[in-house]
Amino acid sequence: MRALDVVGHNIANANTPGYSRQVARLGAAPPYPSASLSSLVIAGQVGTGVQVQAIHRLRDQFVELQLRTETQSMGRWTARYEALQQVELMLQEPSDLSLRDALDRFWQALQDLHQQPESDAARAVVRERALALAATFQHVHKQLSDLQADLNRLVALEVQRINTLAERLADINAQIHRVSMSGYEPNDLLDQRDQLLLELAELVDISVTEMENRTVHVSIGGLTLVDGNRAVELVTRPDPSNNDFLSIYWSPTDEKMAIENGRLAGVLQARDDLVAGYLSQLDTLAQAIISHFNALHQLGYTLEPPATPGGLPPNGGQFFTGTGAKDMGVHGDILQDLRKIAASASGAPGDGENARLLAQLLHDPIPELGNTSMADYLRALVAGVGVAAQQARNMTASQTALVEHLHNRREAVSGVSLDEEMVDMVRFQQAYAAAARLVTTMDEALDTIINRMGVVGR
Amino acid sequence: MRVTNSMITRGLLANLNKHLSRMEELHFQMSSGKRIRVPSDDPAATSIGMRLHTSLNQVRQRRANLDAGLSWLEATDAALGEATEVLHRAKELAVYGASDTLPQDARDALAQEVEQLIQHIVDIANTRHGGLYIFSGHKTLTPPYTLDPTEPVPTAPLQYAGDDGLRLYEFDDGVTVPVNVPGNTVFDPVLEALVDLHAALKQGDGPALSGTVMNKLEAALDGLLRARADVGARSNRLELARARLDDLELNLEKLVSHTEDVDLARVIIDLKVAENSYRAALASGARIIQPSLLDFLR
Repeated sequence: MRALDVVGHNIANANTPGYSRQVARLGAAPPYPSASLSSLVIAGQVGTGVQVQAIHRLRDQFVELQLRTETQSMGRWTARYEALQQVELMLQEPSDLSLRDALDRFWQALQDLHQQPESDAARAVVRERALALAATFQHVHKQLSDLQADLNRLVALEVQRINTLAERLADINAQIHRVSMSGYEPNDLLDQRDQLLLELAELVDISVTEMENRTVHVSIGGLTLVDGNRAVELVTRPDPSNNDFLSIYWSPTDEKMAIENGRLAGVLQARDDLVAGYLSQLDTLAQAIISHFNALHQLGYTLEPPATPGGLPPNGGQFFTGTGAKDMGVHGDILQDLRKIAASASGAPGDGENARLLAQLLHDPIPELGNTSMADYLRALVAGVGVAAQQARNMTASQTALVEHLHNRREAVSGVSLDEEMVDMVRFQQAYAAAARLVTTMDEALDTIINRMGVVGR
Repeated sequence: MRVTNSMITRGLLANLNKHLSRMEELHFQMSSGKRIRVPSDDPAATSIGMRLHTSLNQVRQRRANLDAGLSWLEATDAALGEATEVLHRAKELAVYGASDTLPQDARDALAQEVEQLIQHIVDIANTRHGGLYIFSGHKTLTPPYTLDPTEPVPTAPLQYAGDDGLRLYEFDDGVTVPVNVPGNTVFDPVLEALVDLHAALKQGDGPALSGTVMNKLEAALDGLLRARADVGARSNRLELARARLDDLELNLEKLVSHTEDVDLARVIIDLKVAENSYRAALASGARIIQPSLLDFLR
């Protein structure tokens, strides 16, 4: 009957994540009589039946370990890929709404201006395209910063999840300890604990040691997270050394933690390396445009009337304002007076040479950009994001496949096969029926003795 | 290896998902006609595509520059042609006026016509194209020559108000071509010759008319013809460059399409293949998740 119970339990949990198939290990009960000098001498020992010696769960601990390791990497790559996917969308490439397109259109407007430097219409187009370029820089910068802030919030959430999981692990550790102290096999609790460990492994790089008292010790980078029935809390706090983004501290000593793997590591890398890197590249590009463009613009002459009759018109002033992609803009003077665009290199109104040079600047090598042109730098930035995203996507796919494969291997050992359980059920049912028949037979024998014997002549 | 029910369902779901995402990707390619949706689909092609788009924009812009340049050169050529006509007429008048038998009042009448010719040359020199004085060098907002209304025939040489700035249009990376002719190089000698002609006619100076004045007229005419030949050569150069840019544009468009567009025939076949495997997965899934021993135990 106990064996049938186990079958029932298995069937009921066929779809429980992390459940391991259990089997009742049956063994013959100790035979009678036991060996002793004073015992009666009869032919052979007589069996006393069957008993359930233990209920085992079927688990391959090695697969479990691999599964945890690979799940960590899967979590990290997934988090990176999710962030990079968003970055890709922000860059809007390939499309006509991208930064590349804004830069191209600005170049075109300057080329138009070089052919007709006297024209207010050409000047107005230069101004509009410059505004569009600055706005696109600001927009991409804002989206990337927003993403960075979102990732930062995600760090807090993931740490919270880690803390919750750690507490549940500590709790289950305590239960397992109690149950195994009383000599039982805490199969279902062990399954639950494995499942929690797997969830935790997806988040962060844990190392797990099973102790003699059957509790597990969990640590991250050498710092204890769960020890027996005690969970250590991780706290997040703005880190002044990293733009006030959240860092993770180990509460007992307030030590800053280094997270190497798992989703949390992926989120941290996306926030501190990937997105931060793209933001700084974007800033470098915006700064190069602002400074070089302004410098050249100031060498040219505007279309304003000269201060003294017959003299040269005033030189150009600032064209772009701002210190980076975040606050790039077009100078108020240009916005108010189109004639302040310095298209002329000689001072004469029909000279568009400076406009031509300004346009050429966008395709000339710039030292701050590693001697590549602005257009090339932008291309490298986009291609860099593309390569990183492609790598993250491929790694996510292969890690997912690997984890899937390990899940299958675990299932092969631990999974519930309904067919198998049915076979077992029938087997145990038959054994039960046979045992019952034995009882009936004994009953009939007794009936014979009690009711049929000694009735001769009655 | 043991195979359990949840292995089968897990595997089935994973595979169905894989087929569906492949079909979604192909569907996007087919409906958009584009091979690349985000840079990670093909980073190298994205980068190449960006460069091609930039080049294409450059080519189109430079063609626009060329067209604008050509129209400047055409306007210049037309004006110089007209000036040539004027000089031919002036030469005829000089030959006519040099005749000793001509009475002075007839010469005065000829001088009257020369006055008109001077007026005409100044008008030609002040030709505007799109509102700009094409013979003023860079000072396109200033007329190159201004006649004093009180003095229809200038006594001193007319002051050129432009400069010798060349209007340079870019038609290749850093390669420019001037699309204008500064007026002083052609019109200064023309005006000087005409003023001299006027004076000689007024004075009835026959030898000068057939000598120095005629030489000056010839020299001015040569200058005009040289300028026209130069303008014509530049136009030719631009026409050639334009043909090259047209070719380049076509090539770039092809390359862009090659880089970014899908091969429709291939996508349709791929989509069919993906659809078939999806159907097969669904069909086999429907068969395999249904039966278990449970169905056969009674």
